[in-house]
Amino acid sequence: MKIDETNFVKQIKTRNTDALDYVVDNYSNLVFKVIHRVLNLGFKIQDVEECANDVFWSVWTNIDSFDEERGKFKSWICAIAKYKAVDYRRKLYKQSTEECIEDYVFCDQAGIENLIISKENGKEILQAINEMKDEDREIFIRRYFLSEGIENIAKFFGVNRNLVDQRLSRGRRFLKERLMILKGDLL
Amino acid sequence: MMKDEHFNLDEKDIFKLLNQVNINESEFNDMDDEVQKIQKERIKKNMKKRIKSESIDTKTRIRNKVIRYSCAAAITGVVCLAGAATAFPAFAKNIPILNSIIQSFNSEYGDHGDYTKYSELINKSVTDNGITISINEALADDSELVIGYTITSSKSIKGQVMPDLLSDMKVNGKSEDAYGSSGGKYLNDCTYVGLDSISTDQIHDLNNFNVDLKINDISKELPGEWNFAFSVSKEDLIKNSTIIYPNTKIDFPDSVVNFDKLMKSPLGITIYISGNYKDKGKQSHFGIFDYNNWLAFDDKGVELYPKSIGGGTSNINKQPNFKSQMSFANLSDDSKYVTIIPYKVVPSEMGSAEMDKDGNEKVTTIEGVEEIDTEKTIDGNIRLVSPIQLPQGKMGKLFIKDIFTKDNVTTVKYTAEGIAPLTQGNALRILDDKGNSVKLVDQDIRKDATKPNEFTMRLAALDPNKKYTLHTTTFNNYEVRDDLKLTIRLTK
Repeated sequence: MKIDETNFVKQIKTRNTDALDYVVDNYSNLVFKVIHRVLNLGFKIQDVEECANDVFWSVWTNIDSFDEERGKFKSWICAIAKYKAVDYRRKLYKQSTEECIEDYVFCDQAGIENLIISKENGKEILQAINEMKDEDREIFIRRYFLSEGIENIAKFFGVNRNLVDQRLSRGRRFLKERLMILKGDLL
Repeated sequence: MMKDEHFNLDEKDIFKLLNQVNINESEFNDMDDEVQKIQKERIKKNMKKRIKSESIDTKTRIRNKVIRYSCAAAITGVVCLAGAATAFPAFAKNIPILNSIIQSFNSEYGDHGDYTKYSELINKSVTDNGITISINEALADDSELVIGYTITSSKSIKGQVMPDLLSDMKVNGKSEDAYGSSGGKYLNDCTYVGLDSISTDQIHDLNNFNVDLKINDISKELPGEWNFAFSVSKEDLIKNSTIIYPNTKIDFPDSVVNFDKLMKSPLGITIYISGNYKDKGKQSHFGIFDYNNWLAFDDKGVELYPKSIGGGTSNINKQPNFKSQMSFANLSDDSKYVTIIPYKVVPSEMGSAEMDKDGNEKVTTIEGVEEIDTEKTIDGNIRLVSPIQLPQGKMGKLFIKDIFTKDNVTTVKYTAEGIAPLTQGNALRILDDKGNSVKLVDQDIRKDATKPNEFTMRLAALDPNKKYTLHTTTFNNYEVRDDLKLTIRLTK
C-alpha cells in the first residue's frame, strides 16, 4: 500500500516499516534543523545524525504517545527532536548530573517548606502536570523538559518575560500543592 | 524504559506531554539544512537493523564507532573537572578563584593555551534564596564569549543544577541565541563550578561586549533571580594575535576550498575557509565538504590538538556554497608555519546520490567500510615485561610501555609512532569484560609538551581479578590525503 500523510501514523502503529521510511523521508530536514539549532556549530555531522537516529527510533517505539486528536505530528516530532538534542548535548559534555537522581527536593520561594518526591511518584507528577492550566503547562514543559530560556519562551508566545516567570512560578506552586494533596503522609 | 533525569518520568510519558508543545516549523526557516538523500537512506537502514535486532532479541553490542575525543566544541573543549584538585571551602559568599575555571576546563582536555592570562576577572556575586551565583571570569575571542561561574549554597545542591544557565543573555543590547557549549562539575555537595559559552560571530567589528545576564531559576529545585551586568573585551587577545590571509586553496575531488583567513592567537590557530562544490548535484556524503577533517602539525612536525574541526554551514544556492572553521591549540608560540593534512572517515555504510539532467535523484547504495580494530586481552593486574605493540594500520602503531594501578587509578604509559601520533594516542581504550570502555579519569593524554608523542592515560582502576581488552582502531576507514598537504606560514 502507498504510505501518505493520511495513513502513516496508523501504519507505524501496525509496525509497517514503510511508514517509518516515510517519516524519515519527509521529516529529516526539520529534525536535523532542530538538532542543529540545539547542538550549534561545534559538533560533528556524525553527532547530529546519531541524535536524529534516536529521534526516529523514539517515534517508532513511542508512537502510542502521540495524541492525534491533540496535536500535529510535525510539532510532536520537533519537540522530541529538541528534547533528544538537549539530552544529547548534556551527555556529550559529560555533564556531572549523569548520576541517577533518586530523590529531589522542591523548595518554595521562602525556602521554608521542603517537599520530598521519591521516584515512585512519577505517575502523580504526570497527572499533576496534566491538570495544570493549559498556558502554564506548555511553558512548564518547554522550560523544564526542553531547557528553553525564558527570553526565548517569551519571544515565542509574544509576551513579556515577567509573564513567563509568573506562569512558571504558578506552575511550580500548583505542582507542589497537587502533590501535597496526593501524598500528604510524606510530609 | 528510559527515565528522564529530573522528573523520573518514563520517556513515553514525557512524549505524551510533548503533544502539548506547539512548535512551529517557521521557527527554523532561517536555516538552510537540506538532508542529503544518502543520509536518509542510511538512517532508514539503521532503523531496519535496529527493528530486526529488537525483534530477534539478540544481544548486540552497539559500539560507538565515532572517536569522540576530538569532538571538543568550538574554541573551548568543555567537560567536567576531574576530581577537586583545588581546595574550595564548603560555603563562602565569594570564592576566590585560585585557578582559572576556563583554564581548568580546557587543560583537562589537553588544550594548555594560556586561558588564565586572557580571561578577565569579573568576580560579581549575587545571592537569592540562600544561593550565591558568582560570575568569576569571562573570555571573549574571535567567535565566542565564554563565562566561568560558581554556584554555592549552605544546603546541598547536588544534582540540582541544570545546564544552560546563561540562556538569557544580552550582548550589546541584543538577545543572543545562547546555544553554545556548556559544562560543569560539583566540587562538593554545596559547590558547583560551570562554564557556558555563546557564539558571537554575528556581532561584527566590535571588540567590547557589554553583557546583561538574567538568571531565572537555576532549576526547579533552585528557584530565584540573579542579575548581572559586566563588560568583556577581546582587545588584549586581538592585540596579541596575528591575522594572515593565506591566499591559497586546495583542489579536492568534489570541491575547491579557499583559505580565507588564518588567525594565530595566544589561544590557538583558527583557519577560516569557504568553498564551492564542483558538481552541485552531487554533494558530500561526509559532511559539509569532503575531507572536512584535518590533521595539523607545527613546524617541528608535532601534531596539534584539534579544538574544533569538521563543522560549518552549506547552501548550494549561496556563494560561496559553504563555510567552515578549523581550530587547533598552539603548541609553541614561535612556530613559523602550520601544516594541514586533510582526511575523511568513511562510515560503515554509504552510497551515492546523483542528479540526472531532469533533476531526478538517483540513489545507489554501496557498502561502506567496516571499522577494523586491534584488540589484545590483558589481566587487570598485568605487569608488563616488554612493551605491547598495537598496530594501527597505515597510520602507525602504539607501544604500551607500562600499566599500573595506584590509589584507585590505573595509569597507562604509552607512545605512538606514525602519521598522526596524537590522534593515534587518543584512539586507545580499555574495554571491560562486557565490552564497555573503562572510564577515563582525565582526557588529557599529553602530559609533557617536550615529549609530545609520549602519552599517559588515567582510568578508573582495573579490577585485578578480571580480564580487559586493550582496544584501538586500524584507521582502515580513514582516507588520509598526504598528497593534498598544505603548509601555511604563520609570520607576515
